[in-house]
Amino acid sequence: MNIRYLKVAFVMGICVLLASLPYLGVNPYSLHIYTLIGIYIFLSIGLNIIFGHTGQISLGHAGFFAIGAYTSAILTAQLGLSFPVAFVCAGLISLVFGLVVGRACLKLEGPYLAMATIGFNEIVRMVLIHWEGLSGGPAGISKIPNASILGLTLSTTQGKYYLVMVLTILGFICYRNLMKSNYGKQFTAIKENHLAAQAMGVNTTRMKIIAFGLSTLYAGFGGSLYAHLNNYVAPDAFSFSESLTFLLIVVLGGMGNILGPILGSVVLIWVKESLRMLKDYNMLIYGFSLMMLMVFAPKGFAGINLSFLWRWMAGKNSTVSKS
Amino acid sequence: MIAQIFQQITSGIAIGSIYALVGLAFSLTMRALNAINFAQGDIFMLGAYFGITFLLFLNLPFWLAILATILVVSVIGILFERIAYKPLYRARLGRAEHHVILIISTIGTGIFLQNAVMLIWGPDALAFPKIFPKEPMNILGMLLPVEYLWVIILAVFFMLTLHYFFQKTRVGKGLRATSQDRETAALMGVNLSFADSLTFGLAAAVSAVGGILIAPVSFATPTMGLAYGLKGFTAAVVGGLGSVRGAIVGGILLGILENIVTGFISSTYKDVVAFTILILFLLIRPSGLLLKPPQQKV
Repeated sequence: MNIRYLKVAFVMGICVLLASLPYLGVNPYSLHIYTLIGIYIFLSIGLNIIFGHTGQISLGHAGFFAIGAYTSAILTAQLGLSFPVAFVCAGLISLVFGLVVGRACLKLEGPYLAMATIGFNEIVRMVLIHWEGLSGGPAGISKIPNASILGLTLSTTQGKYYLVMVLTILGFICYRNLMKSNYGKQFTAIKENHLAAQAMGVNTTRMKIIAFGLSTLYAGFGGSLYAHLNNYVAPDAFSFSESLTFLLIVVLGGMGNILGPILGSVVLIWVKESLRMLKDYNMLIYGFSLMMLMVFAPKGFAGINLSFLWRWMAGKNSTVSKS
Repeated sequence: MIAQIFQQITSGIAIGSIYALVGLAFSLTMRALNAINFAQGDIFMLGAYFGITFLLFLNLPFWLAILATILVVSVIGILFERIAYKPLYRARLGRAEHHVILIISTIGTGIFLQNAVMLIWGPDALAFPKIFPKEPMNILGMLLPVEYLWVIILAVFFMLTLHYFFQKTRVGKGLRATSQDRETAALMGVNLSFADSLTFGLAAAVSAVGGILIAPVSFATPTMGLAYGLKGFTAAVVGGLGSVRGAIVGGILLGILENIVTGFISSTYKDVVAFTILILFLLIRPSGLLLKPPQQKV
């Protein structure tokens, strides 16, 4: 059997599993967590584009997440627009902010870029807390209507789950194709060696800004989904620690690994949920394990090569196509 | 009006010298190891909490409390270096993503410290006991807040001590040599491992002093580290990251500006002002006011 068909079969199998999950006796809370994982996949795809593939760190993605969530919340709850319009607008407005911030900040590198983006994140949060007329202040915006598409209102946990899953899969396919395209290769060239990429004719400034814009587009979409999942947004959900969570997902999944956002989100959210049992010690252990993880396994899952899996499933004597 | 400006500037210099101390801590590790410790703000927070503990719960006199805090926090700083930094420093050489590993490791340490403090001292804000006299001094009709004056005097004292240590003592000269050229310094007999630990210990001590001196200005909360860490970093960047004088100048400028904004425009956006200055300086003059812009090397 050809490896290509196996991959297709594997992906189809996962899709069928995801589609039937609500009917397999999963309780609503778990389903909510799976939906949340979908949203985290969206956000970490965004961060993986700029950080994993292009090598420019951002610790301010919670700021763009917030911009997306609040845009969607304001458009639907206060202006009464429909969900698809709000969803697209959330992405676009986040993209506009991303292009402006990217234009300005991407001159910086490494820790400086990290600090500048943390600063941006804090500025967004402060504005959301203090500009009460727009954002409802510290209490945030509640009573965000449920998402509805083509007259179908998705008010149940199941409906939201399907919405997020379908959009996540679509988002992932776009991302995968983009990274396999010419653009993705230019991004990687910038990460591997900035000067060499320039010498080979890559317009590095332009490419970095494009990568940043794309990544904030994804963050904005994720924010919109988040607003309609919880029907409620507040500034606390978009603090710097959330930006750190996205970064961790990317590092755990392997920087620049296309499957990284999925792997990382599943593992990190699962770990966070399991640590919740420890109550007060939860974040203490979380912080300590971050430190230890970086000391002992700084590469995350990046070292794991999945090709052995395909080879094993295809049987010993099959030919391995390298494409 | 003049009296008000005068008061705002005095308290601005006071809070600015606290930012300067945190900025100094950033500059010390930056100069010696080209490393930014993202847990610096949380070490500052530890300084505040240990200060409160020694003053309030153990009833030590103020000078003894400061010394004890410096001692405890610098030991924590050295432990931090040994556990979270040193294993990475060796592993990270020659890797493109090394700074990311360091960033996550130090942020992880910061989260750990915040939550350890929350478990030990509780999540609520703690107030400092009254250390300095509260009554303002009257000079030529202008009221001078004495407690702020004390903050400035103590901060300057510790900065001068640090300066003396670096310029006059043998160990201090060794540290300066290390930050200029590690290999040559090692050949001249500097113990690099000791020098690195000492750098982190000193940085922790300096931020701990800042943490105690915050007493007349603010409460201590477990999450105060992020804001003060960012502002200390801003101070260091404004003056020139890696320069000791730069951190002091930057901190005081930032403090004055922040206070003038608070006093005359609005207090809600004072943090926004500080972070905007950080981003603007990083963009327009990343080498800061006092350092020369570096030449781009290929």
